[in-house]
Amino acid sequence: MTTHRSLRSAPGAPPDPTLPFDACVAWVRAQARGDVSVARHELPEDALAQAWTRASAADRPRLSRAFATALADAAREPHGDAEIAALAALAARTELTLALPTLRSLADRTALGDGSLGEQAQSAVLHALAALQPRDGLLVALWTRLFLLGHPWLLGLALTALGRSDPARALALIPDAVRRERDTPFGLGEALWALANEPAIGRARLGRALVALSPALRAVAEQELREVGGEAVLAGAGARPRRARKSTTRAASPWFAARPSVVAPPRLGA
Amino acid sequence: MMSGMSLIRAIDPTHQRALDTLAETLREGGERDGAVLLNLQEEDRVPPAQVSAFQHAIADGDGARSAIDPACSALARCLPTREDVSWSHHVTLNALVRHGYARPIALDAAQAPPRVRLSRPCGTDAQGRPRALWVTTTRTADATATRDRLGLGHVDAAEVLYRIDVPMRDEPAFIPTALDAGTYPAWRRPPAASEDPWGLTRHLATDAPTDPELVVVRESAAAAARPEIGKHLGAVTTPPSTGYLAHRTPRP
Repeated sequence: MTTHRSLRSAPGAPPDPTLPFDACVAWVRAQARGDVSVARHELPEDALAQAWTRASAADRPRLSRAFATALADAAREPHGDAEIAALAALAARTELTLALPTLRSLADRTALGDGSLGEQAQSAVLHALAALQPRDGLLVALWTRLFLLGHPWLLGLALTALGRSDPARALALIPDAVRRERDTPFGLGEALWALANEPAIGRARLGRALVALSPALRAVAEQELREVGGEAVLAGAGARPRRARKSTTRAASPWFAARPSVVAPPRLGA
Repeated sequence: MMSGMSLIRAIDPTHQRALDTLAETLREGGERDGAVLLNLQEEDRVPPAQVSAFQHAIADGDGARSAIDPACSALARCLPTREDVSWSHHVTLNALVRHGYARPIALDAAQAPPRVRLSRPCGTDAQGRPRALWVTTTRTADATATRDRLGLGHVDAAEVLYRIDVPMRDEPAFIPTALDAGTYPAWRRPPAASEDPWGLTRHLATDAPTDPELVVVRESAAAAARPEIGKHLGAVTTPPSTGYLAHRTPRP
């Protein structure tokens, strides 16, 4: 681990703007590996995302280049899965389109290629690629292939990624998606909610796609949407919303007053 | 039994040098390092055996800041309890996805669903083993206010926050100590006069003790019959305040 003094800056603080670019990249990579910010509450990229938020407008482009370079460097190393996952997730959070070429290259190490990346890194890379993809349809074939692979952890992502790059194709795949959900649950409800909130699709258009399903498939889709709280989408699809159940959650503050008999943890050492 | 001492006052005199080095490293750091130093100095609720183990781990390492978390997490603690009411854990959608609790489906905050189904019980790792989970009684509906009340200094603007109710029947639960907080500067122990059988969160802006909090180890979570649900609180709208730092006097 490097001992450069500037690498000891507090978590969440931007790096010293006078730091040489190579040292800035090293700082980013150390954070992404968790070498510097090791607080157990955080993801490694939390501190980096905060550093980006706090950086001045003048410093942000340099920091963005450092993020993209760090990802590219990590991608060249054989055992950098955790670091790649952190930096890919960071790219999605900071809308780092500079990272797109590296993310596209890393996609070949996911289920779409040799699958050599670990599951978490695959998930982060493909999610970042989907979130940052240009809306020109260039990656439609890639998302379609991911959908057809049918990996339960990534199938929902394939559908929402297609919703962004080719909305018509995503809607056309819904019957197949519902059948797959029936066989092996993959989060259809979350995916339908995401499609309904994709600007190029919207609730009305998704609603029409659901109405066109066979009654059996439509029942599955509606149940999935209800599971994730998507009743508003169903209303657009002409489904009869169920009456909301009364919450069984108790209010917070009266709890302690109303339950004097509850055995609370003894004070340490008491 | 109370130890009556801070975590960096050596029980074994041979450890004092390493502890002094650690304190000096933190003093030389920024405000957050100072807050971590304050936590270590203030902690007087940890039994001597755990203080000793912590200090031994620091002395075995390089006495640097990065040694604190490993030293804290190596320790077993005992403070069993039982609860059966509404405690909940608050977490971002990004964290749920990155820890493998939720699938990476939503591409932005607008696509975050009102409820997200977890693939395994919150507070367990991918192999089903229990992990320490922070829970509170906070029921604030607004994401930003919740973040601030809970002292979640790592949750930035635009992060989407979810609440997960955590049933705690016969689960081991603990009052958080500086050993649980490790190098997390926004945490602080309750005021010394507090006699409540739980910890207290600290408000990010004011450092005020705010809501009851516990750390729970969900040993029976793997047997949960139903998938757990995260309830959407919305996107946080402001960067986290560091106002709490102004209310502390980290340097003795």
